[in-house]
Amino acid sequence: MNRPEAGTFEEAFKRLEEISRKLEDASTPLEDSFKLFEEGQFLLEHCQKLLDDAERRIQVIKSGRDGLKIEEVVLA
Amino acid sequence: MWRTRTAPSSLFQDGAKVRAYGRVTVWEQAGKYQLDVQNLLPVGIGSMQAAFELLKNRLSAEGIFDSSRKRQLPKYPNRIGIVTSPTGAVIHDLAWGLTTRFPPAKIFLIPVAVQGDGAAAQIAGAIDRYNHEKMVDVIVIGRGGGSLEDLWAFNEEIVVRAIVRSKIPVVSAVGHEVDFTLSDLAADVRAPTPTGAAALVVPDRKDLLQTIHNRRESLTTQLERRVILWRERIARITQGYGFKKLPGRINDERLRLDEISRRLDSAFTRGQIVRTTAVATKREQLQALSPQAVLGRGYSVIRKQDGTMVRDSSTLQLGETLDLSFFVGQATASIDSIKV
Repeated sequence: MNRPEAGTFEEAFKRLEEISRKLEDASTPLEDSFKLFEEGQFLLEHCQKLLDDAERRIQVIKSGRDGLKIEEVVLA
Repeated sequence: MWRTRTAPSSLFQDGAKVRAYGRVTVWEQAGKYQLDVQNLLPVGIGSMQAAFELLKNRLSAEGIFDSSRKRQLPKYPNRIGIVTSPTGAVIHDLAWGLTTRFPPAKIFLIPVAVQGDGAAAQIAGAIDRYNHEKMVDVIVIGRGGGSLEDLWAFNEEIVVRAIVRSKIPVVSAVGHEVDFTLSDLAADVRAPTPTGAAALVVPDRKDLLQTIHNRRESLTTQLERRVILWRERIARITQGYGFKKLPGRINDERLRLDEISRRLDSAFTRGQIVRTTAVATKREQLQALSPQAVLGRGYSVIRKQDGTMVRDSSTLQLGETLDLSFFVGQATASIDSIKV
């Protein structure tokens, strides 16, 4: 797993902890260590990007006769 | 009030202040006015307080407010569902607080009335809706401060039941810090104020950015340490006695092999010479011992007429004819005299 799909923040953070554990482990082969490092860097970038998102939106849910309607409202 | 229209009498005690809705009728025969009550509501702090206590006790007995029931909120909620009025400061402050602290979370709102008729049903319905559609990872219900009457919807049993039913954790953020509604007690987490709820629901991005920064550094350090350890391992192996001496040892073995080979060769050659000499000697010795060689030295073979060889003179008779074999030629002779 080299270029994982951008997951949720939680998934990325959990994976980062796992990577850190594996890098600590002496039995991890050296080549895997490089791959894990690379993946870790990618995930850190991804998390940073998620946290830097400045857009403020809410999804307002209204139930009409045709079912649920979701309206996106941008906060001032 | 007719018995069939009676609200749960548990809500009312003697002396409670009530608001009655109904028709005024006249009972002509008795000359009395009658109030035909269709709806009865508690009024004023006193009666509401009493109703609150009664309901609280009843629900508490069911274990609804037990801390063992309360669930942990997700650490990094991806989707947050809010239930509150679409207007007013609460939704704005709450949404603003959540998005400022934790931008990755997606915010949903089901707008409801937060007081008055039907409010409780709408609030309960919204909680159910989030559950039914599995839309969010945590639900936040709340409203701004107000009187006990204003907050009453959040004390209604229908809302408490919806909170208990909810498979998604619920945060209750109703009124001011001093206000404790039954929703607050039943929820998994109580926020003292709606704006305070944001800090309870999501982590702060400042802390997370710090963690990311630390993680980035420690990843580099960890990798460096891995590389150093591997280099040391390799060095230990190649500098070790066994490894270093290996070319030398191979060479040594090779020399030994050559030596053995050479000695084998020379031994073989020497062996040949010795054997040849030995054979020649043996041949000479053999030849020296051959009858021909003996005859050559002057001896002769003497045989009787029957072919037997003569070794003993006592076997001879005077006048006997004997055959003589010499190195060269043969002869016959007769015995003249015998000496034993």
